[in-house]
Amino acid sequence: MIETRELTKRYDGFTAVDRVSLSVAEGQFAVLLGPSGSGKTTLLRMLNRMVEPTSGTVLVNGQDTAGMQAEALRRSMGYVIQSTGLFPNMTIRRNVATVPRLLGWDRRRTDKRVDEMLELVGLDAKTYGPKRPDELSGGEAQRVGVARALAADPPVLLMDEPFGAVDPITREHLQIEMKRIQRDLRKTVVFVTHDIDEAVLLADSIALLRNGQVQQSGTPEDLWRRPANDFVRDFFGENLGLRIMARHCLSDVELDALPPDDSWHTLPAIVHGATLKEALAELVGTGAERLVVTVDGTPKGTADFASLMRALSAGVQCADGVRTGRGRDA
Amino acid sequence: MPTESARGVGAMPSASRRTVRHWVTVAPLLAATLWMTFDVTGFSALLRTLVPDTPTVLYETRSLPRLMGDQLLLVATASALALVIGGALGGFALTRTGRPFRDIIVNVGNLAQTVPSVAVMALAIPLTGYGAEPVIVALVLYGVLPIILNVIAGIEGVPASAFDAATGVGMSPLQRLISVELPLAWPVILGGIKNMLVINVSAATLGAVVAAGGLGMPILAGFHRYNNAFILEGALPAIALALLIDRLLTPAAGRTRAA
Repeated sequence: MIETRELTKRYDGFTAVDRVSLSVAEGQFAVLLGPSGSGKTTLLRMLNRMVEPTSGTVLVNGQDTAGMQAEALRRSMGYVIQSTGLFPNMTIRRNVATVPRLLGWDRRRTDKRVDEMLELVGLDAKTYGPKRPDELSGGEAQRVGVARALAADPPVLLMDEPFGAVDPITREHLQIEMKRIQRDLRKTVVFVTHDIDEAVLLADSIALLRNGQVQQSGTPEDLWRRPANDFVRDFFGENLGLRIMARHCLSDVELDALPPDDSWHTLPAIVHGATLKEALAELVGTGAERLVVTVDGTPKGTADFASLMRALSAGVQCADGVRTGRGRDA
Repeated sequence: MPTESARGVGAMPSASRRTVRHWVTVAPLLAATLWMTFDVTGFSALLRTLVPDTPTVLYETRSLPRLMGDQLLLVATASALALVIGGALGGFALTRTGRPFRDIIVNVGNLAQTVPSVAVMALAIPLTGYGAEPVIVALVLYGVLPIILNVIAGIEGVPASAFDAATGVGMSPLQRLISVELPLAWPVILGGIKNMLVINVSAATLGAVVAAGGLGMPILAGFHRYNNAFILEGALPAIALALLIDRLLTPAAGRTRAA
């Protein structure tokens, strides 16, 4: 879908991005992760030619973007930035309608699409449509930013630290919803962040950058189990294992059958939407060897430490992508 | 979905209240300007009250509607030219090619304002002759600076994130200018236009010195003939006009900052 070959950006002797070759498959959620100044934003901005590469190529569906008209390329890629970039002179409706209008959609189609997009990101079109960006909270504004990026149904979404400026609780809501939206709409997402938790939670694949170079790219599980160098190991730190466990849910675990006797009644129960991290905490906290996993209140089976670990190495993620086990209202 | 309570509620009534307040200040100034210009008997009665011991209170050579017409024509012509020239220079200073000239342009604009307008007119006369032209040259020189400064300040004041997003969603530079940059810069540019017009309304009275007509004529005549009524006849409508323009172009405060 998107591929970079030896992509390089140099500014007056300073190399911001250094021979980066990456590929992102269709429908994949790819995260560019790295400390400040690692070149991740410059790399992202070369994908839609907001920054022109010094050398190297960007291919979208096998086509070299250097030969495309920059505006047309950008309209085919949704773009979300940290400070939302909503146009303060326009209503929320007009903001969301920006790209459809640029593409010359007729009014009825645009209006309908704007309603759908606001609903998709959880905002009531009647209430929020006529408002101005400065009447919204940070989280609401960021939702509108996502709605605007998706409005023309672009196959690709570029996101530059989109949730960096909102409070942690709102950020987590937005992350979970972003994952849901991406799965539902099957968008190819390239997402820049310096937040390890965010990266591990959202990514199908992570490219870890330092000084403009890719240190390692792969699934979060790959980077955890097979770090390419000390930088990768140190960057993720010792909590990566727990962070990885938070990616997986009990619904992915192959459960052991309930024992025929009633002995399982004394075991602690946990819903199948809970993450493996939560399940582990439950095991450690209660001192039990097994947990009873329930679906809609009905016990379905039991899981122990070993079965949690097997689910982890299988590398599957919560199939439904909804973490009902957290008991949070997303 | 947790959403915050509608904070913008109440913005509409207060917006219309602001519109009302805006016109409440504009209407009396408009009425005063029109009254002084067209109600000969009424205005001369006022002047007679203000300056009782004068044989003639109204300047005989040219009637007030014609003087006001001269004045408006001078101001409008010069302001339109200054707007075009200042807008072009300010716009040029913001382009990639023009950026190196930005400071030079601003400095030249500053310099133009330091030259006394009478001197500008006197210097222009050999080229243009007497009449409206030298005044227009002087007024354009004066008016260009506030336009240049405010065009630059307005466009440079556009939030970087809005500019970035406009580019990122695929607007061409022209689309970005028209639908994002100019609307956001407009209040600042409008401030520059207002400054220019107010300066020009009062500066245009100097046009009488070079036979350009306008409200300066009775002022100049009053000065020569020790007739204070003449001076007021020219000055009062000019003041009313300047105030009218100032109020008219001052947006009611806090337009978009609801909540």
